[in-house]
Amino acid sequence: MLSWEFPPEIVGGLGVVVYELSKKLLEIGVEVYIALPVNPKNGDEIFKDKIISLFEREVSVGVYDSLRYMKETRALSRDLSMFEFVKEYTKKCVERCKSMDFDIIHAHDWITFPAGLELKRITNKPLILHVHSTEFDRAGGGKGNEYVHEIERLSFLNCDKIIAVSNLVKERIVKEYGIDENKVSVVHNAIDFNAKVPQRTQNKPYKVVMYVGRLSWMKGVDFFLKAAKIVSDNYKNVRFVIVGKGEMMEDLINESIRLGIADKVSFEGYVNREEVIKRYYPYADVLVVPSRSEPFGLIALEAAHCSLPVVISKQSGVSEVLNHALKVDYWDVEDMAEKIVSLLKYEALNKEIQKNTNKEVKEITWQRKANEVIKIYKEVL
Amino acid sequence: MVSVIFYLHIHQPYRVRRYRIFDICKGKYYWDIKKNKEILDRVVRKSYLPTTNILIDLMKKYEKFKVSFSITGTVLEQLMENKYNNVIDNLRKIVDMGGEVVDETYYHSLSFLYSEEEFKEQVKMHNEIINDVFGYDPKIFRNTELVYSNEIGKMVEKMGYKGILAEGHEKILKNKSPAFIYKGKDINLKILLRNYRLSDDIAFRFSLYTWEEFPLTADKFAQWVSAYNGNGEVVNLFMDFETFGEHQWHETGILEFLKHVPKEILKHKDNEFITPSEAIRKYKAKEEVDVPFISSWADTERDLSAWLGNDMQKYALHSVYALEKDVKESNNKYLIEEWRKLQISDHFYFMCTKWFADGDVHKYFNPYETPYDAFINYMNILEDLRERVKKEKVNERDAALKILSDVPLGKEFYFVNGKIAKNIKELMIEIKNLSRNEFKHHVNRNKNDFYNWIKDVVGDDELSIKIKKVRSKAQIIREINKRIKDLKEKI
Repeated sequence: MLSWEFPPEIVGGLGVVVYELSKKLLEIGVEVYIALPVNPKNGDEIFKDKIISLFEREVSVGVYDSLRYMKETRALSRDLSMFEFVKEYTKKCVERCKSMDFDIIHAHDWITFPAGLELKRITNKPLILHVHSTEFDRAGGGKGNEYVHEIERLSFLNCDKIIAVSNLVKERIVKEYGIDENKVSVVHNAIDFNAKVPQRTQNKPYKVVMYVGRLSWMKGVDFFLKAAKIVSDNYKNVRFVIVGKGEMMEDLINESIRLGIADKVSFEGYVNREEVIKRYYPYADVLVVPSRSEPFGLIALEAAHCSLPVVISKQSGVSEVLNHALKVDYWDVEDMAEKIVSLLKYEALNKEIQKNTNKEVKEITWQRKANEVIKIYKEVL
Repeated sequence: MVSVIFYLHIHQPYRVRRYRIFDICKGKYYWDIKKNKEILDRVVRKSYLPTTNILIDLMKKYEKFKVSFSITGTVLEQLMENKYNNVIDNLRKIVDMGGEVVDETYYHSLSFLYSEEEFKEQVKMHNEIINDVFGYDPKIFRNTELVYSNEIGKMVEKMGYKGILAEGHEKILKNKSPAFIYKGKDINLKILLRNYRLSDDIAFRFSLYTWEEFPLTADKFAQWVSAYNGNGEVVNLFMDFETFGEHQWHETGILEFLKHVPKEILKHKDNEFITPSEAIRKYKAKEEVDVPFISSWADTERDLSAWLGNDMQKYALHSVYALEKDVKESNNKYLIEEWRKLQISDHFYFMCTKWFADGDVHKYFNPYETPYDAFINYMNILEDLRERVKKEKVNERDAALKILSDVPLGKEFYFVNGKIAKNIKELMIEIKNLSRNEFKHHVNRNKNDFYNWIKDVVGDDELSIKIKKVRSKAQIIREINKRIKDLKEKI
């Protein structure tokens, strides 16, 4: 298993998925070794002796931001820390792993793909690529960084099997990268929710609509604000809470002022996951996932576990597994607003969705997903 | 002897259009005219017309073949609006040839659960339209979705019906056979219980190729019916009219089956077809059935969970009936009609979540993407109606205030005795003080000054009409006094 992040140091869903999936596979009895940049700080017993830490000293990976790197690869002489990192990861990973005894290489997203390809070339073992998002998604619909795009394309062509986290991602791989659809299987992400679900906050002076996630263009938070404006025109007692940070923060604050709802929107900045579950979800009445494109969207499953109704963009992978969430086209802010208002206004609707999403999310477990992955392993062996 | 009761139910709802939150109070029309017409056109073409034609032919051909039906006000209205006189004429022919029409609620509603008054009014409306259109006065009742309970039985008997149709499910029967006539607990109302096995063999399983009895032929079915000889008196085949040509498409051979099944059943000389009324005259009630719960013909649960299974449905239903008092007090015929159309049970059925996750079984009937969309859409419309009712109330209040207030300067009423009245209260007081002759001066065979003043200056048509032809002083005073009291209540 090749990954570049692992809890607790995570920036997105990938690290969580690698963690949960490997853990379940280990429990089932699959021998899993995880090649990571550094040894993670969580002391899970099950991962003892299973982590291959590649770098001696700590490296800070940070967030790979497609839009930022897009220009920079055109001039390769500039500071390319991300690409340097990929080179280093590849080199060290191949060095350490090539003589190990294993049957399958399972690599997560483009950063680890070169290492996966090189290992496959040397060892002749089957390579499975697990795609959490493509460059196409990260660039928000454009081709994105040509270099990354090319790494992805070549890897897709030369691997044995691709696992996409949603049909949405699969479609991208097939359409944008010209890959045979039979080569791509979908294994949706899941959630094993162990955290205690706190009681809903009682006696709030107003209803709360929440966004949780990075404040990037792709996440569609600007549509959330546009919908918020319409919501506050149609429902008096309401506040909007935005949890997360990102490059759009300033634009979004300005937008909320321009829309005349600045007094109703609060920007909370980054809040860690435990805090979100413990303090923010119980305070909210609706969670909105307004992404322009969301390969999956684990947050919606988390909210469902906490019995928080979600309005999710149809352009998200998670909408493929949550039947009972309310779904909207991210650009249809009127529809988004109407669904939010209805959830605020009608307790019966809110409760019904809470009940039904909570029920269905409990069926979306890593146990099931691990079995699907094992089935794919058997296909390539 | 086996008497077959072949009864069909005809219903189409008024479907509502997409009604967004932003449409509230904008005067947007509720009903999806295009879709309603589209579906009606299709059902008429595929089912109502060909099937009624076949039924008429069968009744002509076989003297012993009879069919009974009920038809909701909502589909009857739509047939008339869209000039489907051919369908209505066909149904009339069926009635004229001895077919029976069964009563139900005009709006295919669940009103019996929420308002006895509304339920009775809708049944009365239905009875009237059936009398009008078919010249037939039904004595048998069927409730929406064949819902029955002890309580409903009592209510329906009190309304003068002799019999009621219900579901012949084990929940009611408890090992008794549906092939007899029963009666309600502690009442004389006869109950005809649907033979759901034989009915559903046609309605649901006819084209089900995984069914071990597939394909169902007319003679095979007739044998099953005849098998009741010796251990039953009635075989109650109750189903949706749309079974023939719409639920089961023409291509499945359902219409051919219908053409042949009476002949095959009547081949057995002890078999016959009768109507529900004939059945309850012919057979005694075997015993009482006790139904302390609500039973229906719907789904495997035989209850109302498809309409009332979740909180959204309960809330929506509760909300529409909560408007009853205000809507009725508005006295606005149009508002009352809109409100009643919003009681059609189909609206709530579309909000059902129990099948939503596991597939498309009911999707065919549901115009919404999700049950939540159905709920949101419906609640938006209901809010619009609520606002309209509120406005109507405000209007009434304004009108009442205007009538009670002083008339403009120079428009006062001048009495022959020199007194002056600025409003109807003063008018009433001064009339009291008039002598007989003075009164006669204003009210006589040739004129009624009070009427004129109230009509033209005060502008109260209702009161003016009431006193127009009155010549008695005491009665005029009484009428004005009563009117003032009524108006004051509205303020």
